[in-house]
Amino acid sequence: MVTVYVDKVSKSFNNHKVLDNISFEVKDKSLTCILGPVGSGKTTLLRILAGVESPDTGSIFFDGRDVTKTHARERNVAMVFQSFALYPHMKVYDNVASPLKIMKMNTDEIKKRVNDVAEVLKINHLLNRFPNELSGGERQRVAIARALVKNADLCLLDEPLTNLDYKIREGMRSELRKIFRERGCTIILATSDPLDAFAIAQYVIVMYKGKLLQMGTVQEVYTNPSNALVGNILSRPPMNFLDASLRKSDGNLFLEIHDVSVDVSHFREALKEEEYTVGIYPDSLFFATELPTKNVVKLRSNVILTEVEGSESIIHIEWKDKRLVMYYPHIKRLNPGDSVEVAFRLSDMYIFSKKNGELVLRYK
Amino acid sequence: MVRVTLEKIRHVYPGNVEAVKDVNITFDITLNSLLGPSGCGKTTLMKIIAGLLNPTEGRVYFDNEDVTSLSPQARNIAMVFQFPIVYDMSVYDNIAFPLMVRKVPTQEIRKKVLEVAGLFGLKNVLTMNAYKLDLSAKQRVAICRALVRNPNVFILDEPFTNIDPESRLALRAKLKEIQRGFNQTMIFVTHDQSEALTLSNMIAIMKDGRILQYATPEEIYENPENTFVAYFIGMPAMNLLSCSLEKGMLKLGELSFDVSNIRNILEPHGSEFIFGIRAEHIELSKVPLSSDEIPMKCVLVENLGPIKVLYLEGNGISLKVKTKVDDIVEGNTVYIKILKNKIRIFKKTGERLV
Repeated sequence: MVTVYVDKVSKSFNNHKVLDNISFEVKDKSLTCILGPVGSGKTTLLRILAGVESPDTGSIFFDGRDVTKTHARERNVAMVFQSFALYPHMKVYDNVASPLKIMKMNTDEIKKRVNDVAEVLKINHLLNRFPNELSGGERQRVAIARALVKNADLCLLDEPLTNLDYKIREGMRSELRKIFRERGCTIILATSDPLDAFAIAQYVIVMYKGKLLQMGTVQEVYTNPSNALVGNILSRPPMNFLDASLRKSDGNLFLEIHDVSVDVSHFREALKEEEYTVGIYPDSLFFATELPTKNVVKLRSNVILTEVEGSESIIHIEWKDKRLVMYYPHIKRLNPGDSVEVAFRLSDMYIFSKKNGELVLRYK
Repeated sequence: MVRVTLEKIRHVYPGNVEAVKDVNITFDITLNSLLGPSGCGKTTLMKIIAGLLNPTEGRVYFDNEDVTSLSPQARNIAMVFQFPIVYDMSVYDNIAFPLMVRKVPTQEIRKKVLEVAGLFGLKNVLTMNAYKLDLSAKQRVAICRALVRNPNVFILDEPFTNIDPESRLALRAKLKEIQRGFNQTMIFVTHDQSEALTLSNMIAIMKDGRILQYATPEEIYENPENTFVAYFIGMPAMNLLSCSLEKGMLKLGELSFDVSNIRNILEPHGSEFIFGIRAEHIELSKVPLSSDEIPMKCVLVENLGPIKVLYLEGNGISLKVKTKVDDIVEGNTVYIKILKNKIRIFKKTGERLV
């Protein structure tokens, strides 16, 4: 139950900048996901919020109070690390109770708190077992219970689902969301899997190599990526990119993507550069027969490969020596070499600057 | 390339831990996956095929030859592990190594190395020391080294687990692409259903030391042999609901389905069954389109990017439904229709009946 404000935080290790001027605000009782590939600085940021690491420059505020110099123990923050360590010689009950024992809480109160949190996380039947008698998913729940039992204002989770089998991960995603909602504390969760962000979080902070690229609700950021990298990080499979250049003809302006011309005269004001990168999400690619004929771009392509995953298909195609990936929400089996006409709506086309990857505009 | 047959394989580790229980299977000459949760005995089974472990009971055959007592070398198997193994030498030498040991002529080695390195995008780094590569590239080197030597069987034990998600997708696609050209017996061990479903031509599903089903990905998805396979394959898992048979009607919470046409199949098995339907085999609308649609309340929306999973409750049952419709929020009432031909019925003990 705390509003977190991070103000211009930077941190270097051995002259390597791990966090570069990071600023953001996380609202009280919200669930925010820090999303970025390995090496984007997620863990360092969480450690700074927890108070186990201090920033080189910049400040951290909890509810307007500067806590940058406040010791971890006085911040009332709980953290679950990626390689969550349970005490192997302690039963689950004692593992969960351990932070309360350190706080010297009385036994009755501890018992009540542990039982409450055990109920929420569905581990009541495991309280008398040792960690090595539990499955990965059960252990993860115990680690989360131990973090939540403190009733901390802020709960930080570093890749809580990464080490779990996918089937457990699938269940944990929806479970975590329910649990967090019931607890009403502020939650920040770091992950490299966009599915976690979609399934669990309200807000997403996209990071890359120590920089904060964009923040907003998950849907907002997915729909309006400020940068080609953001589109790529939020998309599974990754976003498709095509080179494009501007051509003037009879006072009209065209964007040339290979031999495809798109009239962009009405964007004259925004298009100041010569070269662009066009981004298209894999789920914006359709078979041409499924789309109207107007305001679409058609690409006559050859199939490289189809990957059918249960009820969905990922189709790899080649268009003018360029490999594109299509996400198709049904089963579709095509043979390598098959000729297909793939299309996307002009309105699903993102135009990024070739120079710095910034979003120039989304075609309207 | 050989067909690998396991006959009555059982393996007990010291301490009386039975890791593999009575496995009988023949892996085809194609890309096979061995899929199962952590601790189901996958790796033990692979070690038995590779000859790294002698089974407590049972025989291993390569085609018709009994290889149970043969050494790993004599079996001519290539293996790629979870952690890529590369040696402190150039990428070229790493890949060429097994051929040099076999004294293959230099020209031929060169041809083969360039061929596989090209497939895996390693042509530009052939002179680099393999230690300097990132994990994904190291694993590609390890796969290339296994591919150059035409092994009898090619085993990959969770080869993508430690590779970042983006490269993992790319590598998975690559492996599938090249597999066709090689016509090898590959066994790909994984706990990740999407890897198994997308990559392989045949999947063996393993649980608690037993193989539960060996079939094509489509068959496993459409017709799971039992409730574990139905749960384990698919995201989300197949909806599995307890139901009972009363006078030719299947009662499911407050709903009932006419099953008089299959009554004779069900009745010998008592009155309690499990009703299975996949989340995408339930049609959904915001307004009732016909009288047989069932109203349900949406209690949770799980966003999976392009697709949503809705958790529905009502009529005494809970269901998950997969949809592209993206304007349904928690608390809405929706109307569903269960596709009759997609219903699967299992015995109370888990085996599929219909």
